[in-house]
Amino acid sequence: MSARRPGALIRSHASRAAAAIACAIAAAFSSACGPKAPVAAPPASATGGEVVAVDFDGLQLLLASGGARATVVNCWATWCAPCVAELPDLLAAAAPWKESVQVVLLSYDLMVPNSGLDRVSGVAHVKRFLEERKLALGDHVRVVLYDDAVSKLDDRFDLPGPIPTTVVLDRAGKVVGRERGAATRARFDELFSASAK
Amino acid sequence: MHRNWIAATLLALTPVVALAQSKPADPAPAKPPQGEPAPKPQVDPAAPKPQAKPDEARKPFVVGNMVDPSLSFVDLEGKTRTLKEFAGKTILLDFWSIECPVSKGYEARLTQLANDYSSKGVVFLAINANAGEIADDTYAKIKDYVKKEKVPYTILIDKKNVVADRFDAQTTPHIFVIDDKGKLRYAGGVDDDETFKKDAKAVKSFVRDALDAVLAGKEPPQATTKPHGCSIKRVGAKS
Repeated sequence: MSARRPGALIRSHASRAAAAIACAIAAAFSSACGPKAPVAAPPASATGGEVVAVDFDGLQLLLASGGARATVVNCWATWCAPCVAELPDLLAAAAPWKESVQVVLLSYDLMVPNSGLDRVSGVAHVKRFLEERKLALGDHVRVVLYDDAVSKLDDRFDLPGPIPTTVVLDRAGKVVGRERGAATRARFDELFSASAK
Repeated sequence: MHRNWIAATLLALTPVVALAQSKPADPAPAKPPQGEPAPKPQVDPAAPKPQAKPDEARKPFVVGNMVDPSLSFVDLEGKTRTLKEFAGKTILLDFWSIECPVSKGYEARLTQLANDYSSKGVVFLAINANAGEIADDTYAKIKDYVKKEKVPYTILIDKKNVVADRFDAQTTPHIFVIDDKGKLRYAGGVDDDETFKKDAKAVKSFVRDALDAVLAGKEPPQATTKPHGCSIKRVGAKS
């Protein structure tokens, strides 16, 4: 069974673990989580330190589920040292904006050849990584493992390719700001300010 | 909506403004009163000559440029090597890492490419420009890795990132193909299958397509693609 299951949404929050396991088991025996399954909209509660894995369509839905809020998408990975180094600054800059801006930490951890990770183990890996670093993720922060063609992301957000990269989306989903490469705390402050304009 | 446009425009202009501000400010020429002829600029023979144009020799290459053959590296034995020694051959430069999981993940595909194209005269050079991996002048870790992984291509160290900067190499892997005339013909990623989950027949190998085209004297179907992988940590850059 391929680890790629477009449309499947795996969550690692304790209360969602059973759903994730059920999905994985179901996927092994049927197409319930397979390519033909409709893409499930992420629940509004998929925040606050939860880690989810989505394909491109799932990501689109997840972004749209932010409601009237703007979004800051930070492309990162646990193996990307400059990405990890800037996370505390990003989260600190995000805190004052938690009512009006959602933050999506878009992980590239599954974007590695022969990583040995599938969606379930990838979610566990990222969740463990964040817990070990005691990063305070509020309800305004979603951690999302991307599992689809990276070219779709590049096209959607006009990304440069290398990470870290941060893009700011306004309430309509339009890119209104970006930082290619690692950002400073001051730069993150600017990006969050840009999201409000 | 208008405010968003303004914000986007301001943001887009920010780097330009920042760049402009980082240069020494030119003294604003005094505006002559209307109707009076502008005073002729006085030439001070002792004044320094006008600054030369930006140093062309340091600009990053773009596809279509001739690559400077004097670019040099150090091999794992500490010997200086230059691109000149590969003159007349098609060269594949792979900015490469022994720690980046993406670069390591692509090792098997690069090895396969090297095996397939070495016999066609293509020279495969793996360039390590990562600050954290090349600080040790013995390159012991790199040698161990090459031996363990049976890496078939030549490993070269870009000690001061001069080569990485000239190619504007961003990630590991980041591939550049130079034709037998010394012209840069391809820059970008290896293929469109970052996770190796595609069926082999469905994988679009940008590098294979570029090499086939260049060896046939044709233009690569895609001369540039976006590279993906770990950022190359430049020598001297803050962590």
